[in-house]
Parts: sequence; structure tokens; C-alpha cells
Amino acid sequence: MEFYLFVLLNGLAYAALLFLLAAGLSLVYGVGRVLHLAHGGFFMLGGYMGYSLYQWTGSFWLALALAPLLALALGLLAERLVRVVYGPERALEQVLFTFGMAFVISDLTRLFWGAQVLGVPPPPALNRPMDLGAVVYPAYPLFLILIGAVVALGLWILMRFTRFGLEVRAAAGHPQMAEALGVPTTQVLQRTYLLGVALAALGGVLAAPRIALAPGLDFTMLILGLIVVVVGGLGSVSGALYGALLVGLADSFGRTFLPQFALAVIFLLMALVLVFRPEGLLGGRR
Amino acid sequence: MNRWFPWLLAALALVPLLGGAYALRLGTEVVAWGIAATALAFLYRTTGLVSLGHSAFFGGGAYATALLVKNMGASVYPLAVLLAILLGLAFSLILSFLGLRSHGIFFLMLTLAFSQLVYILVKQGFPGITGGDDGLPGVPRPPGLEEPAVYYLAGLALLLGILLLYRAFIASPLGQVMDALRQNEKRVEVLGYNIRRLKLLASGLSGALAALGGAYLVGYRGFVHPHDLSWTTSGLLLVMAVVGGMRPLSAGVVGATILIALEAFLSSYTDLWNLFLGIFLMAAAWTALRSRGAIHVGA
Repeated sequence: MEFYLFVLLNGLAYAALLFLLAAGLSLVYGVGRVLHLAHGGFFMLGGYMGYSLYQWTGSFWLALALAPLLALALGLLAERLVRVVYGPERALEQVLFTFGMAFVISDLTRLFWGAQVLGVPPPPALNRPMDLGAVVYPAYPLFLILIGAVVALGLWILMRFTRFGLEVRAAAGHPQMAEALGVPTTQVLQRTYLLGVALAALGGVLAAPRIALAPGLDFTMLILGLIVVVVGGLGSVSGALYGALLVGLADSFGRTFLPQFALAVIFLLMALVLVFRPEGLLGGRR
Repeated sequence: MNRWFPWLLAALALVPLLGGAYALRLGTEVVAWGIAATALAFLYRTTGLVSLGHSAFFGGGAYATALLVKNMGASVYPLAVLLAILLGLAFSLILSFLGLRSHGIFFLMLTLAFSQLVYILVKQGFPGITGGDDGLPGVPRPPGLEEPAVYYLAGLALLLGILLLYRAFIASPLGQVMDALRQNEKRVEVLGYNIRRLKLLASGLSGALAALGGAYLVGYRGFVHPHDLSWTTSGLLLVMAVVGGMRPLSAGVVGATILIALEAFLSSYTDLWNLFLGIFLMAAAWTALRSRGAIHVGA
């Protein structure tokens, strides 16, 4: 029983990281119908920048705070580029462009940080086991679950109760109507993009103590992010949340019982969802 | 086909006369990648669908051929190639059955995820069979085609045959319908065609053709490596098809010629080939937008 609880907590910690990644992917698609294939690249960049900041300042917390800000600056630059291909009926160009951007980010990261595997230790305050009664579990993954829950709650409040959230939902639901009613959809998309990039980078820094930083991480995470949004349904925060929980748990249990085939288990999950709910679990609803 | 495309083919046919072993190697690469890039361009031409995971079929075809030939000897080559093609067809059909159940963007994501699944499984799942990180070395050449120049010319003939079939297909009534499908899916559907079945057909053929390209590559190169299945391979195939213009019959071959020449040239100066590949992709998307305005991708 303790064993299953352990696997469950591992899955939830992974789900928190996947949620940070997939929320932006899903929102950017929802608002702008742009499939942002460079999203995994920003996740990886977040991790690598977190590593450098940690080496430089010696404080994990400073790295955690600064890396998303740096990613935000890079996101501003990337957004200037992606802006070229915004618009309806441009899916092919958007896919080519963001796929190309993923290549560029991947090779530039290798150029700056090299190909060796890098890691960041968890902060001292969280680098200890915690007694949960039933099990003794490391504190850092619990911290990840907490962050995931806080971000999910924050995004829900943002989407539900603020002007920005209203505009996002309007632009995602019916772009022309929103535009006619005075919602600046392009501007909303830009802000959503930056929000998504910052969340992905935050996920990257948080992942650094758990997942080794190495070339190829960007693509692994992009694939997982895409699977999450396919499972959960594109275009909404709640879809990303449910998708992340399912994929995170499937990965954790898959790794435990079929270590070599964890990705195959996740893929099977996605195939099942596509057969029975082609639009994803929450597809069609927003 | 373009007016000057026959000249490109003629120039390719003269490669064995002109250059040495290096030119022949590049020429053979052009044929192999050209076949696979043509498969990708064919899928777009007939349905408007873009696959981000054709490395699964290209590398998968190479692996299937290599495994069979290595274990059972060079005499089973025809059987091995046939099996590779059938596997490409079958997996492509299954994948599009899943991916075409809803919006077109799901097809994109599914192809990408599937190719990564194949990559991981080959690399880590069954290292005893697939050779893991090292791939499979020591694949023999097909009997009768041991001579590199002969192998190259046979491939060129195969490529020409494929392009002629492609042209005949587009000219046929079915091909005309599929050309229309790319341009306006709704109208084709309203005219009473089963667009889902048409898309499945195109996707299956594309997967089979890409597998054939992979089988041809391994017969010449003599080894397979997990890199053949990786996302950079998918990206390279996509860049080739896009540089060739996606729609013309010649797209795959023209793109493969340009990209392989460029890779041969650039990789002697820098190892940041993926960076250039990414910039090409972005530039191609940008110019496509400039020159043609909005083009539609299947949904």
C-alpha cells in the first residue's frame, strides 16, 4: 500500500511539471490556433538558465525567481518572430515556423551549455525526507505538487475573475465575435504567449533537480506536452490539468511496472482517448 | 513537373560518369531521401495533411529491411523490402485512423508523438534486437546490385518510376478528386466523397513510400542508426518537401538535392547543422506566406 502511495505521489509531482508545460501550449492554441512546437524548447531553456543562475548566485530560490523572467525576455523576442505567422488559415506556416524555432533553440542550447548532462540540487530546506504518516517521502516532489496546485488555482482565478481571463475566453470561443466587440485578440494572444512561455520556463527550473538536463529534453517534453493536450482537449486550462494528471500518473505507474515502455503506456492512453473521445476528455467544452 | 526538372534528373543520371565515390554517395543519398520527401509532399498534395513524424516510416523501413536481411541473408532482399513497405502502409493506416478522428491538428501531434515512440522503443525498448544506441551495422548489399554505380542507377530508375506513377495518379479521376480535397475539403465532402477514406488512402500510400525510401537507404549504406528515426530526420524530410514547394511532383527530389548538397557543404564548416535546418524552416514558412498568401492545411 505504501508502495502505491509512493508511485502515486511521484506521478502527481510529474503531473505538476507537465501541467506547467501544457497549460501554455493549450492556451496559446486556444486563443490563437497556433500550435507552438517550440514550447518544449522554452521548458528546457528554463532548466538550463536555472542551472546557470544557480551556479552564479548559489541560491536555488533566486534561480527559480529569475529564470522565468529571463525566459519572458526571450519570449518577447520569440513572440516578435512568431507574430509573422499569426492568423487564420495559416496552420502549415505556423507549424513549420515553430518547428524550425524548436530546432534553433535546441542547437543554440547545445552550443551554450554543451552536450553533457547537467543537474541542479534541490534547495537545502527541501532536501530531506518528510514523514507523511503512511509513508516517508522526499520533500521536493511534495513542493512540486504544491506549486502545481497553486498555479492551477491561480490560472483558474485569472481565467474566471479577471478582465484578461474574460478576453482570453472570448478570443478562444469566437475570435471574430470577440474582435467585433472590441477585444484586441492579437494583443490577448501576445500576452497569452508570454504567460505560456514563462510557465514553461518555471516548469523547467522546477524540473532541474528531478530530471537531468541534457540535449533532447526539449523534444521529450514537447511530445509529453502534446500528448497531455490531446488527452485533455486543446484550448483550456482545465483540459491541460486533467490531461497532465492522467499522463503523469500513467508515466509513474508505467515506469514502475514496465520500465522500458513508459512512453508506450502513455501512447496507448492517448490512442484510447482518441478512439473514444476524439476531441480529448474536455474537448468542445471550455 | 517543372520545365527544368528533367534536366535535374538527367544531371543526376550522369553523376556516376563525372565524379568519384563521394559524388556517388551524395547521389544515392539524394535518391533515398528524395523518395521519402516525395512521400511527404504527396501526402500534402493529395490531402493537405502535414506529417511531422515521417522518420518513423523512413527509419522504420530501414530497420525492418536491415533486421530481416541481416538475420536471413542478402537473398531475402525482395521479401524484406516488400515487408518494409507493408509495415509502412499498415502503421500509417493505423496512425491516421486515430489521428483523423477529429481536427487536423491532432494528426500533426499524433505523427510527432508516434515517431518519438518508435524512436524510444528502438533505442531503449529492445536493445537485444535493434542494437540500441549503436544501431545495426553490417547490412549486406542486395545481390546483383553490389556495385555502387549500379545500385545508384537502379535507385534513380526506381525514383523515376515513382514520379511517373505519381503523375499518372494525379491525372486519374481519383487523383483529381484528391487534388480538390486539398483545395477545398468541404466542397469535396458535399459532392458525396468519403473524405476520411481518401485521406486514409493517401496517408497509407505515403507511409509505404517513405518506408521504401528507408529500405533503399539501408541497402546502400549498410547500417541503421536510431538517428534515422529521430525528430531531426522528420524535420529534414519536411524541410526538403517545403523547399521543393510541397505541391509540384518534383518537390521531394528538388528539395532533397538542395538540402543534401547544402548539408555536404555546411557540415565541413560547422556542426550546427540543426540550427541552419531550423532557420531554413522558419524562412520557408515566411516566404511561403509572402508568396502565396494564406494556404490551407487539412482539418
